[in-house]
Amino acid sequence: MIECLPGGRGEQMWDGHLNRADRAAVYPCRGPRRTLLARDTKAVARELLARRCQRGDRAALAELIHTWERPLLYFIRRLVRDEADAWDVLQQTWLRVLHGIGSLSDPRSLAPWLYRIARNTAFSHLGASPPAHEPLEHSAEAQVDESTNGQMEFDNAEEVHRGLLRLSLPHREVLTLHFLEDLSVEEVASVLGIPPGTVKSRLHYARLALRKAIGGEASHE
Amino acid sequence: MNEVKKRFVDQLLAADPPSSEARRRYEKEVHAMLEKTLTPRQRGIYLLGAVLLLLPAGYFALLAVLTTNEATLIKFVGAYAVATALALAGVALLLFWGYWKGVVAYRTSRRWAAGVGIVYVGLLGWLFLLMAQLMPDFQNDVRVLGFLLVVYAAVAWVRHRVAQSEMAMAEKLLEIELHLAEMRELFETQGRTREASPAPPNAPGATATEAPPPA
Repeated sequence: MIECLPGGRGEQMWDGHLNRADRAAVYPCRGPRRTLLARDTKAVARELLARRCQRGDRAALAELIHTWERPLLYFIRRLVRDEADAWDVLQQTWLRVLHGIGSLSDPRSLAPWLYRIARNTAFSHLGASPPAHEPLEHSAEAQVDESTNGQMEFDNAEEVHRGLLRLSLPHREVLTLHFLEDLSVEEVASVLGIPPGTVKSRLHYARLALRKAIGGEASHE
Repeated sequence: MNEVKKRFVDQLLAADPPSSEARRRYEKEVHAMLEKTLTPRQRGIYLLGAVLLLLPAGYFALLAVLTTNEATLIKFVGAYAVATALALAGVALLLFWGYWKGVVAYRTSRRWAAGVGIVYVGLLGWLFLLMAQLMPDFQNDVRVLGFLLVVYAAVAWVRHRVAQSEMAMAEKLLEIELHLAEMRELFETQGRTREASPAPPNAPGATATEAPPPA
């Protein structure tokens, strides 16, 4: 691991109008110790793509759309049942993204930002408000077993896809995000607008519900 | 994301294939969105805007021509008129370009319009500084005004250049970080492959451990 120590060349430079995220990206040696090479290629490539889009690079915007349209469409389809509506929502999402990418304060949070816009667009398209988090979920936080990653406890994608359709909306959206992306609990919380603890408990119960849905389907067959 | 998870995601996405007709319609609309193609009505507005800006530009140009043979102080009015006419004509040209092409890159157009504005303010300030010598009664006031305008334009230009450089530097650093991350992943993959594959029988370590015990 290569480590960047404070007191680098960036210290002397004027950075009057940079926000915290920009400063961290421009001067990685400033502030708390930050380990270079700590991030994987995917995370770095995403941040680079976000920055190129912010600069107004058309090729980067096309790449952004090409890379994200399938997972975003899948996520939107779990919120909006009609396919034509889902395509409309996706198009509106891109419109908002193209207008708002310049003001994205932290390019590292591209993925949660995109999902948040898609979710808000879907709910405003439906004329509904996003599901609120239930107090029951919050009280169950302590009981959640965090040791189970759950990532690969479901290995049949077809079954998972069919099972997701049978779940309630809060469970469906949290599990879809969980399956599609490597988002942290905090990032999922920022997408759904709920506390991280609630995300953990909701994920736990959603997994149980999905297992039950898949099991029920198997017993029917 | 490891390979197993990636394969799972691909399978999950494949489980919900989109209809080709809806996809074609969506792609067409997204393409138009990226190209920022103007509708006929928008093109008309662009043309109207260009014509409306060219009218005052023409008036200021005429004013500049009429003041050519006047006294020195009046000539400065002519110089202001020239600067204003050029700035207005510049913005009109941008609008006309949008009308003509039918496609507009908002970010680039805004940047050009801002550039025209900054140059115009700087030019006005410079003219005020020059004109101050001819106005003994208001010399200091005019000089301060001119100085403020020049400083404003200079600061705006420097800020713009600094922001551009910072963005370029951030991108370069990220490119370097991406290369390093790719190299690290390559080394890790090679390391895993080496650990997984058995050592060849004639390898120095292998012969020492696998040699039969002496009788």
